[in-house]
Amino acid sequence: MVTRSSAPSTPGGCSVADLTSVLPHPQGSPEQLREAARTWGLVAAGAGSARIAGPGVPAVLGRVWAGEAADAAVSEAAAAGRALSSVTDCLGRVAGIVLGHADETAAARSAVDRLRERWRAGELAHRSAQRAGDVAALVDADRAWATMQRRLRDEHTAVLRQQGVADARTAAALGATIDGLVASCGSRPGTPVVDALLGGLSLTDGARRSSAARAQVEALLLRVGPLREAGVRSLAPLLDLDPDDPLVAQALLDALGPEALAMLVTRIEVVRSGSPDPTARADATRLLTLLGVALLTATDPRAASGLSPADQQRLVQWRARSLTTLAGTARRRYSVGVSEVRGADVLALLLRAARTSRPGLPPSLGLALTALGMATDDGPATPTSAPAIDVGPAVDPSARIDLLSELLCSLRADYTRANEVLLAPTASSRSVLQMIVASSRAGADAQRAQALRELLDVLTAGEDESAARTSAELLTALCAAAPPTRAMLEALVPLSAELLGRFADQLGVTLLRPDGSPGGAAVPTASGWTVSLPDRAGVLRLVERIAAGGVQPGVVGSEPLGEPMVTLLGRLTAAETARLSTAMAAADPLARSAAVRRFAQIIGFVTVVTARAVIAVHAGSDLSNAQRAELAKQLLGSVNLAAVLGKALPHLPTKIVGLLSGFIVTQLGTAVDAVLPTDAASRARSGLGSDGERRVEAARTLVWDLASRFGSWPATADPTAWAHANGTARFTGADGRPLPWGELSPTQREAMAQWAAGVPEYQNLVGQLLTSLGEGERMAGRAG
Amino acid sequence: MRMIVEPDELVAAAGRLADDGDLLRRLADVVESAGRVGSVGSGPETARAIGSATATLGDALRVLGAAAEALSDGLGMGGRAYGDAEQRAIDAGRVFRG
Repeated sequence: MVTRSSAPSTPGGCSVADLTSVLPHPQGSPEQLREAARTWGLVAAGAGSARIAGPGVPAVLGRVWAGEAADAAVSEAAAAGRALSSVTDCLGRVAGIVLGHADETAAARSAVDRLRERWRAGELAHRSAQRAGDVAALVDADRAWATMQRRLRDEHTAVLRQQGVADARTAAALGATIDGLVASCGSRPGTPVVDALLGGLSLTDGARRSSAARAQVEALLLRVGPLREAGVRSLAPLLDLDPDDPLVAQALLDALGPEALAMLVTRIEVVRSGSPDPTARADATRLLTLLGVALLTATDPRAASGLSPADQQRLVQWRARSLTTLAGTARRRYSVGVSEVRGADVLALLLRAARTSRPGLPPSLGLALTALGMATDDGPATPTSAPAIDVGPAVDPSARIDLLSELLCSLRADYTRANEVLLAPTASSRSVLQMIVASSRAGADAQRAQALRELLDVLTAGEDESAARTSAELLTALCAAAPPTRAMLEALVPLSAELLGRFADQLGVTLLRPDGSPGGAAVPTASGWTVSLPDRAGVLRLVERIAAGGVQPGVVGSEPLGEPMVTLLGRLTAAETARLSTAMAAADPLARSAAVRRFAQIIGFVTVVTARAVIAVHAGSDLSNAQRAELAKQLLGSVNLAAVLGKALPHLPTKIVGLLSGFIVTQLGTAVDAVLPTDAASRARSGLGSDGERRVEAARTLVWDLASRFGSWPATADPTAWAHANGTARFTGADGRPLPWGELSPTQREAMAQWAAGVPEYQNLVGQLLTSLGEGERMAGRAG
Repeated sequence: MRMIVEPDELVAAAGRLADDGDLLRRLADVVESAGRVGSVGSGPETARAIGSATATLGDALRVLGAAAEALSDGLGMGGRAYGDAEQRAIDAGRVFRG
């Protein structure tokens, strides 16, 4: 209710302008009310054009689809249509009510206008009476004017009161109309309309949130303006979005589409990496993070775990479609100014941005496999004059950002996920890990190798099945006929040597097994997990690659054999020595013989492979065989396995450890002779000459000391009793076992040699060792 | 249970429905915007009633827009699933005949 101005009227009358305060119009504007009502009427008509409103949808569905699911869909469509019809009817009634109130308001204003006209007329009459000059007439005129004013004010009050009643009546009518809408939905009075509608619709919370997310994204993109022209500053409104909400993330990616997303990422990255303005760079980083996190969230099933099953299923389908579309952009090229990126590069940039700010957010399995497909589908990098997008600190300034490298770095956020990805099969039946090891991309090999190694260092460190499985896959990958890139070998050789050493028992089994296996499996044992390796030829290739790792070609006195190969040799020797020691203590001579044979074959095999790899480094040089052999022997002769053996065989006496190390070194020299045909080599292998004698002596000393330490003999051959009975020098220690050969005096050695002549282990095993060494050498020759 | 389906038609119906979400959301915005105009042009009680009614009707239109989108998504998913199954059956038939 509008109150009248409290200023009293003056005998001199009010100006026209004062009448707005003396006789104000009632509150309200008929024009605005009619405009609002007209708009609502148009909306009600417009809503009728929605597909869901008419009978069309149920009719179409009924024509093309029959069955239980179809019935449900038709029912749902019909319910939504009825609900929309109720809402638009309600809107129409609201418009009618407001239109009526507009007329009431207009009538009230007209009534006030008439009151003002009468006021003005009365005022004019009063002034005329004043000018007449008659005192009595003036008094009468004043009295009449005051009476008229009171009457007009009373009538004005009545108009305002009536308008107030109309205001209240209109408000009540509007409320009743909304209540009618609730009732038409079958809900009780007082129920919120939205709840009443939801009671009749099969609409999940996720669907509502999804719809709200789309509305939010649309509103923000309207503020951004045309995407084709959008820069970092104009994209700022998007930072209001919550990319961790999978529905918001989905809505954003849908609204952008793959083409616009790529263009924006390219444009933003140019600013992030090259703008001189730190604020602009910071804004660009935030935008890239938003887009990257949105992509990871939208494509991760785990992000949707709080939604209903129906909403989750909807997202499953969305993810499948979206990832397929994303994969299709792998080879597309996007240019911004003079810069250019490929579709695969765009995804790489997004992964990097997400990882930088959210190191604990891994890509989903689906996104990872899509990225893998894109990384290997992007073809060879073609030369381009466009400057490469910044790849951050890189060893090679010409290196471009690499999707595969970024994916591997991102997978460090979740090692279970990483294993899942690396062990997934590809279309060619290789595992992803095998595919990555074999991959190459100009300018990216070093990045890939480093990223893979850092990931595998963790994945292979455990003792569980997954660590064994990953180790097996890696070793299988490195056994492949086609050599990996040099960068990949340099990065993975140390790890592969360590793993081969860890699974040395399987290495031995594989070397002695003529038939191959696919390899790549984790095998349970009583003491944990081991691996299955590919065939002998594959393992040979791997050992050669490890052996070739640290040797400098053609340089006399260069660094000794690389640490990885020394470690591998040491651990392999230790594993076989432990097995041999156990067999030596057994009473079964066949078991002892088999253990010696296996030990020697494996040592023979691996030493020849090692020697061949070292010699091959000098291939193509002008050096003679003798010179190459000498160089190789210099390198191999400086190998010292004592530290590795001592650590792996802590219970073995130091002297035997030294013997073992020396034996291997001697055998390495012999292996060189086996690989390179020279006269000296032939003599050595036939046992003639100083080299040959050293080999035989080393073999005998080793076998005799091992037999002395671990062997067994019948009581009748007890060495202490024999020495006493035969009056020779005693050659046994306090434990009754023969002392190490190196600690015996010449007299003691003579006595021991006489005693050993009657003990089979001391006679047969040496020859067996030497024979088996040759067999191992020949196996390496055949396998190579 | 007898089932008949034309997957392509389902997907097409889904596409047509998908626009309803946008339409109804925009209409909701218009309703609320007109409500603000109407509130300014009316007395205090009518202004409050108009504000409440238009907010309610705006929300209702948005809910119905979400319902249309959800139905569209469902029809689309179903159409594609049926289409994939149909194609697999066709391919299997070719293999069998081959």
